[in-house]
Amino acid sequence: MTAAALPLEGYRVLDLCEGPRAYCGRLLCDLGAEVVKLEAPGGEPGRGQVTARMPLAFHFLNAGKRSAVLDAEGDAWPAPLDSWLDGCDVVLEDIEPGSAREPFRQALRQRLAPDRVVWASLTAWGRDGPLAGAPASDAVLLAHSGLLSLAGHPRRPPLPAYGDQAWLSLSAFAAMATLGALYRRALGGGGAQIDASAVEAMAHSLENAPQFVDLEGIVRRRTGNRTEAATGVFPCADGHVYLFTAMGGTIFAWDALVRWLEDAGTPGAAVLRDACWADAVWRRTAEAHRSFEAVFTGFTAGRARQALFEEGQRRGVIIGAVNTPSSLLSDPALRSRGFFRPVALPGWGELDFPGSPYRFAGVDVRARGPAPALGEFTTAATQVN
Amino acid sequence: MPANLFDGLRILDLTWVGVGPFATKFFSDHGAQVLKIESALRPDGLRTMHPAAGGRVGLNRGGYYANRNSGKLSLGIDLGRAEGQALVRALVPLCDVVVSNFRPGIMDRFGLGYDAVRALRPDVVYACMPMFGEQGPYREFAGYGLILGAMAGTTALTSYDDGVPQGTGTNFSDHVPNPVHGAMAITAALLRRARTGQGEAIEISQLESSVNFIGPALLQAAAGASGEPAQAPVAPQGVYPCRGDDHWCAIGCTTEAAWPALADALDLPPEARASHYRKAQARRRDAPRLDEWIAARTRLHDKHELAALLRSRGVSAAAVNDAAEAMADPHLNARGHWVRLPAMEGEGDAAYNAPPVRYLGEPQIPMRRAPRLGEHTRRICRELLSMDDAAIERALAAGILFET
Repeated sequence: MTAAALPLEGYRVLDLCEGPRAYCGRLLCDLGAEVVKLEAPGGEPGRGQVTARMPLAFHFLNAGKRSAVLDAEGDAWPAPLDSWLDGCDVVLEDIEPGSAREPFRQALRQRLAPDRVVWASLTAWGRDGPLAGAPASDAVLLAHSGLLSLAGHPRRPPLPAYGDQAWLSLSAFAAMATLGALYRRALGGGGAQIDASAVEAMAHSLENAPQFVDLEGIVRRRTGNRTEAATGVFPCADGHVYLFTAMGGTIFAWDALVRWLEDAGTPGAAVLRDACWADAVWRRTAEAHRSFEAVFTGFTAGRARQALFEEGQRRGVIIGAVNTPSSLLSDPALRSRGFFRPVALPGWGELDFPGSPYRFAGVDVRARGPAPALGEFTTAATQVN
Repeated sequence: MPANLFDGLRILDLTWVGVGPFATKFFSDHGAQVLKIESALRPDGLRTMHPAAGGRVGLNRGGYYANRNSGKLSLGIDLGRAEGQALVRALVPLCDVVVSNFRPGIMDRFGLGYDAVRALRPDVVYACMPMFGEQGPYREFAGYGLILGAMAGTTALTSYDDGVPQGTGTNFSDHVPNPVHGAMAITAALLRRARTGQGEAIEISQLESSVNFIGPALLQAAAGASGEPAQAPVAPQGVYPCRGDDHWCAIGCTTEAAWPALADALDLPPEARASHYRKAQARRRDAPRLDEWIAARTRLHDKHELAALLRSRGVSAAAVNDAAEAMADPHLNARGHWVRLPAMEGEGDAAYNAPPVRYLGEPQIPMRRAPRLGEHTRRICRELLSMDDAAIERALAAGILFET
């Protein structure tokens, strides 16, 4: 292995995961593994119509992988896949306990060498426990874990996070655990059997809510998009900004904020110099909310999000832009750092692909190509058959 | 042959607050010796915040701190002093990994920049986790995790019908994308070092790491495409009111059989059984009306009973649990997710989350509680720096070292 090679160069990963759980294999693929996605003859549901161009989410979750088709009802593994499996290092699968695919899972486990393979199960509830194998959706997992109770406006229904966060979290944790097992194996250890559950990944993300219950008998509730009068989402000319001035009783950068508003001649800014603004309890009152909103939105209404973010930060105010996907595409920091990497996606043209979550000084970690055409790894074998 | 994942691995941990400690916890929970460098002059902010043991804050009573720092060793050193920096630099040759989440430039100021560290340990895996990257137009900007959800797109994308950004209600980036991607990168670099003998310098820009969790939406924006998913969506799905004040149940029809099963279990109006509703597309189109039918029925049920009933009929459902309910949940407890460990100081114990991933068929390494500030100062100085007791006492008296 050359010094310039990616960390997982030469490793083989068999990836049975569908939908958002394919993110696990994507992460390993970017790190250099050869990831073969095993699909049923019709392709996994994330492909949509096989004859149409592949959905963009499918490209994101499966960039750089190969695709092998296996008819699980059939008898034999197609030849190229069969010999490839002899060198398989990792299996990623999302077969829920008790599902119709369980016999196939058992057959695959018998095919591979347990003392060598790192086998990761990515399930909703885990491989055991009272709810193992129960149906699940992303929002249902957020609900059961406790995380959903912290999200949304207090007088409106709890609001599930956008974008399959439970499934993506499960995928990332499983990739982390897989890398840990591969590290141990590289130092003389054997294989591993990983049991990763989405509901626990979410229960693990409750911030300090479990400890508020345990240590102080307080159950945290959702607070909407403002945690107190001057912390949260505020509208501006072309969108919204996020202002942070207080947490846990401590006020941050208040003087810098007030000075900013005063320097701009903001009507009512002087009110914010009042002593009451040092009182964390008062800042949670409806009166404080109304008072601050009136002054601050008077300032932000005529100003653009990015300008407010940059100018505020330069003045020592802790403020962020509430970015949309479009504004992120033109974000100056992401652009100047070359974060987006063009990838040619069949049917879509060359698109700016999001870059890797991490940068290694010695090697270039990135999406390694579009998602694969269905069965391209086993095409030759199926034509012969 | 190693038993635990990271037996024999030693990490110099200069992370603090949210994202960094959660990343290094993966290593401390699986056999690594994680040396957490802490100063009593500027303690980790989470140490002194609520929630705190008995409702009283202190250096060693913070529950949020404890939950993020299980199994680590705390070495109290004043990095602001030259003598303190020298002690930390003396530890570098003994450490496989050096990791921090300071603002850019701080590690250099401590004499612990990558080049300085690599000179002491040529094969070091060196990781930093700045909010906006070590380089770039935002490198001087304030890096508080609370603004990251907004910067990284999830706040804007999580809204009600009115489109007003709501967000997830927590610093989600600090809990999953950033610490997990961070731990992944460090482990991958260690794996590469095991194969090549070479170290690595890794940068995990928190913004760049976080936006990957809305990756599909970014690609759709790049293509100028709408946000609609191409495959059949879950329909109907939603969060529906149940009996009592502020009680809810999340329901999702994830299979073709789920809709008729739901209609049956809730005794929905006859129109719900119309044949065109067998198609998810039709159900999605009429979602507001379907949601009204469903909510009219769910209001009559206790959320836990309703979830159990629907699950038994093959419909994806769960009560919206608050944190107390999650901690009492039979499934999470059967999975061993909630672990009780001794309090950092005084009597009693405290609730920790177990890691959400386990390794089956091998001995489970027991979790250890988080450390008191400087709890292991004397031990590390003796065992790793070969300081004698007199030297340790002098350094403590001079305020270069701390212990509690």
